[in-house]
Amino acid sequence: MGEYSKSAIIKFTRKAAGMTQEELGFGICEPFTISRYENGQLDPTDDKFARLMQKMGEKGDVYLFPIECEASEIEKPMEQIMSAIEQKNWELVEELQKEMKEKYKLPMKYVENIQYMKRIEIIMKYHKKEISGESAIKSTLEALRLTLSELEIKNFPEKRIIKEVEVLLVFNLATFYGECGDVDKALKIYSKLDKYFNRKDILNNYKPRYLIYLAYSNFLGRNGYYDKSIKICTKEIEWLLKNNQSNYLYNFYYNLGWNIRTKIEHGLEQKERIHEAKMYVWLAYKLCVAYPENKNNEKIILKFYSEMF
Amino acid sequence: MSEKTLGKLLEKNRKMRGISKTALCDGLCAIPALIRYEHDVRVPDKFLADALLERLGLSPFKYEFITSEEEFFFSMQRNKINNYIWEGEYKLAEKAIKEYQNKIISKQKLHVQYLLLAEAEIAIGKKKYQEASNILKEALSCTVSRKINENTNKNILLSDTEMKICYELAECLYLYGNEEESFQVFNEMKSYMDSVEWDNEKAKAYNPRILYRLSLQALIVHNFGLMDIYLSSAIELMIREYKLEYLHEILELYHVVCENLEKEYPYDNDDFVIALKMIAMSDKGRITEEGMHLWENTANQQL
Repeated sequence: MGEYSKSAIIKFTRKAAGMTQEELGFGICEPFTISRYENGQLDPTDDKFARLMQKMGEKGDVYLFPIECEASEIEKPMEQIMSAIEQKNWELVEELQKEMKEKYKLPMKYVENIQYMKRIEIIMKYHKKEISGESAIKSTLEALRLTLSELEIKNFPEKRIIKEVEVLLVFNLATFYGECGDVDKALKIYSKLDKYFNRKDILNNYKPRYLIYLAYSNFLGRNGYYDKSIKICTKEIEWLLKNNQSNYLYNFYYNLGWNIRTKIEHGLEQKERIHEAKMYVWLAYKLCVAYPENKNNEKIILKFYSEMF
Repeated sequence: MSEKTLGKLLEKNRKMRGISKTALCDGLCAIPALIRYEHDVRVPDKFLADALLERLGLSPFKYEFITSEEEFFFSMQRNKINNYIWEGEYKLAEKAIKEYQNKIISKQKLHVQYLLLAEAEIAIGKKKYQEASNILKEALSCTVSRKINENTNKNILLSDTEMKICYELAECLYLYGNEEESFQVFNEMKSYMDSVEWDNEKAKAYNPRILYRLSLQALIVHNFGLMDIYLSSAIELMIREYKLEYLHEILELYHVVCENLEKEYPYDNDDFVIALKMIAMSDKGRITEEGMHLWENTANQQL
């Protein structure tokens, strides 16, 4: 969700419709005019814009009122699905998926919604072991190709406008590659996501950010990149504190403690730093108990802490 | 119910909240303009649309907009400026502000208001609170012509920007020692929040901080009963919404209140307060030496 200039909509819809600039412009304007529309050098009139959209198969009248709003009630189940996926409550995800289609009649004419539903489907099937990791990767790439060209996927995140669902699909790619054992590929993708979140022109205030960074720091730690993981954790902690959002804070503190302690175990760090590690795990525990979203984590942290004594 | 256009979205939410057209567009646009927007005869520019939606407690970020290239530039430039200020890169922020200024016509109120707010935030970053207060007052006057609690509260609505200006103003006044005026503004903000109890986004962002400052005011006259109401409300909201800012100060203050009222302090977990203090002292995400000493000397390390 966000805002798009007419230039972006024309380009985006044209690609989704599989048309070239020549095909689109034919009968309406010259192809180089299309190019100038898409680059933002020229602003099309409402009339031209409507005709172009009509040609691409969208109903012209939808765009005569430049702002199209979907039912706002859909927001709640979307958030619930995100939560359910995080907590691996697959039954609930399936239920909500159905609700989205039937009760809320998620309009599938928007490519974004197709991608959204596809993403959930892939996650579900993978976790139910109905498809392999490689298959999941393939399907995720297919979903991305609905809106991104091969070059744009390769050069992610250089595309001017990137949607939340595209970011989440790229994130899923990283996790699937990771689960298939392709550590290098997964790390490459994570660092692209890091690059995306460092862009100056995006709005930083949505949930996927810290979910993604948490997964990134977990992955780094598990694969021996302890220092990088520590760096990511401290950066995210700083960000969360600045933004006054402490939902996932305890996870990052825990990871800090875990990384330091693991480094000590491997002889990569002075033994005295165990105090610091304990302190971070202690902090994680105190926060986790106060905001108990996931009771399991409380037990995990406690166990790890007692092992450190 | 699907609101297919911006006009219907505005109209539906305005009527649902029992808000008059006057209240919604006061300071932002003329009533005939609002009527045209609601009937989808004309479309407001993005910046104005945002302000109208925010006054109705809606989050513009959740909707898709198609804007002109120019509006898009302004939106992205605002993101840039906000990010630079947020990261303390004031020189870069000022440069981006100049770029923005060069593109606007000075009569566009919302842009002027935004730029004044950005200027004020830079002053705040440099701890020039008095200067910031003056800029903020000017910013507020761009679109809010009456005092918030004049007449009835139902007549005033605030966009996110206007709300932010009020809050920063109240904080600046407090920080440079003008407590009287500061508490005045905080009280006005509380009345406003009470009148728009359906605006959850603003409540999450501002209620705890407003209640905290007002409880400090109540402390001056030892009104522990009122402090109890304010602080317990703030704590409950903060824990529910995972907000940490000021939480340890609030909990400590609440402890004092409970003692005075001979009430049970339900957060008898001083360790939690220590944890919050340590976090409040952190530097770039790491706990400082000071924080570590606090932990070593006062925390119960047994879990």
